[in-house]
Formats: sequence, C-alpha cells, structure tokens
Amino acid sequence: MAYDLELSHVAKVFENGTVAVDDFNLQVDKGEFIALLGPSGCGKTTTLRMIGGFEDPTGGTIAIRGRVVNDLPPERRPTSMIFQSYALFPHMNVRQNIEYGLVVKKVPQKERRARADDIMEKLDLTGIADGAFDGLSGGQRQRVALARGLVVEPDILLLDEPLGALDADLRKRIQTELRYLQKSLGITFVFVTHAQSEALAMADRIVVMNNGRIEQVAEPEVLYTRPRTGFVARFIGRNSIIVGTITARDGDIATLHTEFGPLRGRLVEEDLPVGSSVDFVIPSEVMELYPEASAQDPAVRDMYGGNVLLGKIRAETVVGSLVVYEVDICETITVELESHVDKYGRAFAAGTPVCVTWLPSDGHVVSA
Amino acid sequence: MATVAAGAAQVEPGGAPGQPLLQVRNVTQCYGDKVVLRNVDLDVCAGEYVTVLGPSGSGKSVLLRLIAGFEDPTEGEIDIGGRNMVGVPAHLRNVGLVFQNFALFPHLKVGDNIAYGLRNRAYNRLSAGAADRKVDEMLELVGLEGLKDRRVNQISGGQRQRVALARTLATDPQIVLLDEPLGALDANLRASMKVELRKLQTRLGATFVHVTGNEEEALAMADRIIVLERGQIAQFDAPEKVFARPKTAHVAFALSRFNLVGGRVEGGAFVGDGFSFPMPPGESAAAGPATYCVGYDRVDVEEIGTPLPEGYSSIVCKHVSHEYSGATVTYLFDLPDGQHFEAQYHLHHRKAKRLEGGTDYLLWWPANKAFVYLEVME
Repeated sequence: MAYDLELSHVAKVFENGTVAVDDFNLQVDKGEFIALLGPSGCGKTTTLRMIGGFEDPTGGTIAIRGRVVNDLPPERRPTSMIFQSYALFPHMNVRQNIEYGLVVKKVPQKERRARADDIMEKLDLTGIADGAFDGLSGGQRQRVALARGLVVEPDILLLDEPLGALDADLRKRIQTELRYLQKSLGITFVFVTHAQSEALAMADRIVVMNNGRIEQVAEPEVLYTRPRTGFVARFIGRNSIIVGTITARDGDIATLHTEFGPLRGRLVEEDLPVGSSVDFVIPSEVMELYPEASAQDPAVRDMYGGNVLLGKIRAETVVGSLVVYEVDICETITVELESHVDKYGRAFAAGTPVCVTWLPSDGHVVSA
Repeated sequence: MATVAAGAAQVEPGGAPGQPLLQVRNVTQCYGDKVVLRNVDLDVCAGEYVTVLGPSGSGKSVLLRLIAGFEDPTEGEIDIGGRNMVGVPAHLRNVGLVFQNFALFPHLKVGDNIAYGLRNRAYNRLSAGAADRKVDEMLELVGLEGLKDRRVNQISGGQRQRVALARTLATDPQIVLLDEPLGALDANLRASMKVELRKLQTRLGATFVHVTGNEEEALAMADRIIVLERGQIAQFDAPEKVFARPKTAHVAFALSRFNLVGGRVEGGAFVGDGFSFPMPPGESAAAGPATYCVGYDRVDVEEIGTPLPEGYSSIVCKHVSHEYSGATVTYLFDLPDGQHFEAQYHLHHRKAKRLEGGTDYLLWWPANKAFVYLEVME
C-alpha cells in the first residue's frame, strides 16, 4: 500500500550553492500528524514548500499516495498550505475567503456554498460567515485560514508555523483544538514549527532537523526518552549534558571518563567503541536529590552505579504542583531537575548542599 | 540627595521592607455604565513581586493604568509611599512601565532609548555624562553590553525586551509596572526571560507589579498573586496557597491545573449526569448547582476493577488521547455526560501509562484534595 506521503533522497541546493536540504527520507501514513522541528535555517520550511510545490527539489522524489508530484505545480497537487501570515484577503468576508480556493478550482456555486457551510460548521465559524476580515480576532483568523485550506479536501494539509502569529495563551488552546480536529478529520497534517512544546503536544511523530539533515524521526515520547544525537538532546526537553569519553562497556551500559570522575550510562547506539567522545544526556526528571551526606553512603553509590555528584541548590521555583531545582555541580555546570512538590516536600531550599543521582539506565550516552 | 524639581511628587525611596509601598484603597473604575473595577483594595510591600492574573476583560490592565497614573479612578484612592497619587500625572509618580510591545523608538540606538527618560524627564534630569554612565550600568545589568550603538530594529525580540526593561529601570522607579511583558516572546525565550526577570528583581530589591494572562508566569514568578475576576479581587495570596486552595471556581479555572466538573449538590453528594461523588470532607453540603474541582496531578488512572483505596473518590470514564510535554504526560478523558477530565502524570513522581484510546478506565483521587464550589462556570 502506498504511503500518503513519501520523500526519497530529497535535496535542495540553492543557486548560490547553499545546501538547504540534504538526503531527506520520510514515509508518512494516512492520518498521521507530522511535525518538522528545528532551529531557523534547518531546512524545515524549505522541505514543506517542496511538498507543496512552491520550491523545486534539486534531487530525489516526492510522492503523494504513490504518485510522484515533482513536476506538478502547487494548484495541481492534492495539498493545501496554511501560511503563518494566513494570507487571507482583507477585502473579502469570511465565507468569500473560504470559498476562494473552490472558485479557483471552478467548483459550481451551489457546491461551493455547501462545502463552505460544512467546513464552517466543523470549525465553529458559522456565526461569523458574513463577518468582515477586520473584525476577526487572531484565533478566528487562524480558523478561517484552516477552513480555507480544508475546504478543497486536500489529501495532505501543510502548515507553516500556523500558531506563530497568535499570542502565547491562545496558542496553547488552539494547539489542543488543532489536534482534536486533525484526529476527527483523519487528514494527514505536516506541520512546521521551531517550538518543541507545540511539536511534542500535537504530533504523532516529530522529524528533528538540523543543517538540512534529519537528526531523528520518532514519537514525542521516544524523542524525549531516547534522543539519538547530542543535538536532539539539547534541542528537546530539559536535559543536562556532560561530555566524556567511553572507557569501558558492559552490554548496553558504558563507563565514561568525565570531569566529575567516572559516570555510567546507557548506550543509545550499540556500536560506539571504547575511546569514543560522547555526550552524556541526563533528562531532568530522572535525577534524584539526596542530602549531601548521602554521597558518602555506600548503599547510595551502589544503587546509582556511582552516578553521585555533589552540588548546591541555586534556585527552587514552584509552579503549582511542579518544582524546578537548579543545582550547581562542582561550580562548573548547572543541572535542572523537575519534580512534583509532594516528592521532596520543601526540603531543598536555595543554598542547600545536596547530592544529585541517577540510574545508569536512565542516562543516555550518544555520540558527540 | 538629588534635587527635586518644583511640583514633582517624587517621594522618598519606599518605606522599610515589609511596609506597604503601594496601597489601593476601595478603587472603583467605571466607563459610562460599565464597571470595570469594583471596590479593589490591596497593599503591595516594598521589594515584593506581585503578579496580577486574569482573563482579558477582568480589569487587570486598567488596574495597572490607574497605578501608573494614565487615568484616575472613578472612586477610591491610590497611595504610593504613603502619598495619595490621585490627580498626580504619570510622569511625576516615579513608577516605571514595561509594555508588551516594548514601545521603543525604532530609529534610536539602544543606548539612546535607555537614556531617553533620563535626559527628558520632568525632574532629576541627568547631564549627558551622567546619563551615559547610567546607560552603561543598565546595559550591564540586563546583559546587553556591547549593543549600545545598535539600532533597535537590528536586535532580537528578547534583546528588545531587555532594552525596554533597562530603559524603565534606568529612572530608578519606586515601583515597576509590567503589562504582559513576555507576551510577545516565543515560548523558549519566554521561559528564560521569566527566570531572568525574577532574578533581576530580587537582585535590585525592587517592587514589581506584573500583569499577565498566563498562569504559569503568575505562579512561578510571584511572591503573591492577585487573581482578578470581573473587576474584583477573587484571591490575593502566596502562589502555593492559591494553588492549594483556590477560593472560587474561577480562580481554579484561571490556574489551568484543575478539573472543573459542573453538577449539583444533592443529598450530601456531588451529582452529575451519570456519576456521583461523595462530598469532600469539610465542604458545605448545601443543595444547589455546584462545581466539583480536583487538580489534574491528583488523579490516578487504573484498570477497571482495581480496588479503591480508603479515602478516595473515583469515576469510570473513557480515554480520549494524551498530550506529551516532556516531563509530564496529560491523559484526556470524557465523563459520561461529555465533560472533559484530565489526569496529569509528572514522570519524576509517577510512571507513564500506556492507555488505549476509546477504552474505559478507573480514575481516582484523594477525596480530601477535592473542593466543591457552590457556583457554576458558564
């Protein structure tokens, strides 16, 4: 069975020689919500524009439901694109904006009306169908843009930072709405964002990009708990990273030489040999705090495989039931721990000397 | 001691720490027939960081404008440092303002933006040399050394926010008022500016009043939170106290961390369409329409048939989907009557669950961590 979307060895080299996208491979199933995530300049928007037909790839093929679309212009592809700026027409009312794509496709007026009515109802826009563009709130404009993209019944909806123009509070609400909508319509969404929180909350799978290349494709949870590269670990989540060298291996557990002495962690790539330079990635929620004296306790050292570092609480920030500790380790790095206020009570105020521990199996060793 | 120009209402630097620096006394503000603030009473102590949380239309920005002196209240009094400020124009109140849109001069350099107030204010105007030294001091304070000669349109959003802050702090205001100061920044930047802003305030020992629609900012940054609800103070307390016991259903709603289930109190229980919970200990059992409230993080998800521990309330409902946000996972459920219910697992505290969409699960929570409000949310 053909994938809804398949990119094979897709590349884009601009005329000035800049490599925007390099050897991009991805298969997307029908109904998947895919996020392309990365810093600005990573190639995510160029990739989206190539899928939509707004840029031509300089290599590779793009297929939608088994049909190669490389040579088709945007209006002949079964895709719709929602731009960050929405690109709505200010002189048209809500209905006219939504019907525009159908007018272009020469859909008869009666059918246009019916299809626009249907999508407006799904997106809760019926009440403002005749509303002028100027009177719309940011959230309403966003929904009108979505309706305009969906009314042409695309196989794939492409979204370029669609929440970027909304203020932060609205963004969070629309994010949940968008996910519900996508699941109920069952249409494939490909979504570009530089905000990890959006990608983590909405996407079924996330494609993390850096310098035109894919770093990792994974479900949000896997990306968070099993980053494959130092880049992913730095970009996603609240990880602390210690650099080191592998000195010994025992199954998938490696012993590392670090500035804090020997530490032990789980190898993400099995084939990293002794002597490799690595990043030791420690997620914020796997670390535990103990009173300083526990560092001398052989039972504690034993339990955590020697992953016991002395530190001092720099700051404690409580946000509802969540508490974030910033802990200075040996005056060289600061690690962040996120916990639930019930877990330690309020035993670790700023200035308290502590030790920080984690299980070897909870820390990820990835190539630097 | 700086010379104070005639007519300036500048007052001595705020009283001893712990003494009210700002007092809002019984303030009501009307526009025509519309009452936007009603009988607002509050004290802010010198050195405090106070956040004002409320949805749009709650009157939070109006409160800030009244303190700043852009408007005078219809009724009531605003005292700063023990002096009544009603009738004193904004530029003579010695309060500083930081806006969401930064309100910088795009054609001026960073340094000139910061110096603007120092060179042009009504009193205590600084010489060019003194203003220049102050600008350097401020740039260092906000971590923008080296950007003095850059134009404002050549720097990033986060840097602009710092310039706006530096410009305000340069005038040594008694109170710094911030109107959604992080609202225009993207999520990543917002998180780091949140920490920086609070550190800066602590270091300076300054008094900050920060208006926001974002509950996370309000909870994380404040010594005390004011929750505004339709022009009135619904609660004014330390964040942990507000979170532990929101005074009204609207306060709980504003914090975005609580399940709020509509129903009624009947025969000593909270009853909804297709479910019923025993009344939490200590809650009024007076019959009538009501809202049941329990924190997302208090709810456990179990397989149907798991024995219910002593002192817990429970419900069976259908799992819809989950949202992953790194260190926490939120599981979304539908109650029998279609209302939403959420369970949030913090992964440092509890192990994540693998749940099937469309399947029923048993949810439980400690009965004494739930509240019942005799009010109904619209």
